[in-house]
Amino acid sequence: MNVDVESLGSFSRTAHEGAERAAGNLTGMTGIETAVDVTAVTLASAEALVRDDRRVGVVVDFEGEITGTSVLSFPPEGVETLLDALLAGDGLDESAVREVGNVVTSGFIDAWADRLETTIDIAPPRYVPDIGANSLDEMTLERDYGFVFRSRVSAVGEELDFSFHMFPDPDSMQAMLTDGGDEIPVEKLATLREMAQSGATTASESVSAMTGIETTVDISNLSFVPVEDVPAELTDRSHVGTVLGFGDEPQGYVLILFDEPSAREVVAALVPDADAETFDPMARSAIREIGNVMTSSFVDGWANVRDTTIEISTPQFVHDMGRAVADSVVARLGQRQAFAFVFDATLRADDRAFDCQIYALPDESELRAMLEDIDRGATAERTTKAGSL
Amino acid sequence: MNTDGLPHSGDPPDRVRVGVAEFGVATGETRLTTSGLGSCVGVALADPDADVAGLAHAMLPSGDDDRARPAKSVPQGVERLLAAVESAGADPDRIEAKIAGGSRMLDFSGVGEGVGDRNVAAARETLAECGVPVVAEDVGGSHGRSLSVCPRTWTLTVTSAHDGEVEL
Repeated sequence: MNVDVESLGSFSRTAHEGAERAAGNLTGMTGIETAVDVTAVTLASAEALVRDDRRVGVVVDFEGEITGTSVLSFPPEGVETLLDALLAGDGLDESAVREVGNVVTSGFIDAWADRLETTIDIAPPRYVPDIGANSLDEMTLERDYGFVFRSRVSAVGEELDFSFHMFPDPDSMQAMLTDGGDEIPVEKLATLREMAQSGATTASESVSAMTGIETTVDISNLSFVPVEDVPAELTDRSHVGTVLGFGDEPQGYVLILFDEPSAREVVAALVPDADAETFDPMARSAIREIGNVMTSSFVDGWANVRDTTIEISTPQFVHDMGRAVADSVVARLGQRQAFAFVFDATLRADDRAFDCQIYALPDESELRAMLEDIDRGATAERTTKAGSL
Repeated sequence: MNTDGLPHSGDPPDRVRVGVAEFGVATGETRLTTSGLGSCVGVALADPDADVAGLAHAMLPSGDDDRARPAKSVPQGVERLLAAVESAGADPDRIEAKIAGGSRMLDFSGVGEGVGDRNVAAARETLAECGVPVVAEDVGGSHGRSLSVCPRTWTLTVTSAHDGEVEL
């Protein structure tokens, strides 16, 4: 299957519109102000639903011009906030959450129905107390090489964040995304995601080797997002890390961002004499050094596929709100393009609290060059394994 | 689905959050907030006598029309914000502006060089063309900022890791 980049962009906007309506419906029901943080088209991120933290879900099947399954999920605190706002009586929790799921999901689906000028039927919502691997199988979701529309909505001043994932079936996807001229084979995007994942794994091994902190890649995604949505993927908490450009223009950016405590651990492991409280020049240089090594490890995989070397800039130290760092990157990237493919990965440690996020944002020219260079033989082999997609 | 028939839809919110490339308008005690301004610029407009204010988080010094993201470019964001503040009851002759953001956190050359400075310049220029005076600003530097505007007091609160909290 090939996907048309224009269609991806236009469907991403429909998904955003759906998220706005869904958030509006939730506000109408509960009186809690909500805002849409991110709407992305993500490649095969059913796994992202399966996380360590428990999430309560409402699953809705829909059928019509597009057919598939949607999953609305809340952290347990969010459910409590909801139940408080709705004044649900004892024992009615499940039905109250189902009703919220119904109203919110309608918001999303209505936007698609309007856009396609059709009606889409939605089945009664199912309550899933813990969205996890088993539930994914029960939902028979396309795990591989499919696209997922993902939105995150958060409440203003309340614990009520929720995520919405929409998994159209392969036929619907085909109909939605393949009607234009500027097409990318979806198998190549899958290969790109695998390259990025293996890059993130190598970067994680570099962290472990340099610091002695055993880290692994916890979550990774390849998403297609409007550039202005990238900052909301990060929190406005203070982060410490590096930003590097790759290519000579630069043709893209890699952000390596640690939360403050993790950055202090890294500094303490690399240069025990440095002042990790204030991030003195020695500490900054240690962060730059690890950012440099991690970025090199990350892009090496890409360079191998392209049979070339990828130049990376000197690392720039940042210590600021995560969102403000991303804001500065997208203000640059946005001058030339409205959407970006973003790869993100989260590294965690097994034995302690540790949080490091990696974001890679190649610009359009760089992305096209990478896709051009992806070996067709390898792609064909993967296509076979993936079945009909 | 129409939300008009749902309970709660008439209550004014405590706070309106403004995302990147968006703007919002509020009245009275309802605060307008935006977080994580880096090279983007925040433009706040208000008619202090009418308790009406607006806030835009604009990303690019110039650019095409984008209806989905009304404040993506500074000139369009400012013009649309101005129109929205006026239709919320602000008197065009009394509207003032405060601007913040436009930092230079990253030092790369190339197409995006100095985008923070250019965003601030575009904001000043568009406001001047619209005849709106800039009464306060906190721009440039190399740090990020979060903003909060109160229509009632016409205070723009700028928070950063660098300077703590500053009221404009």
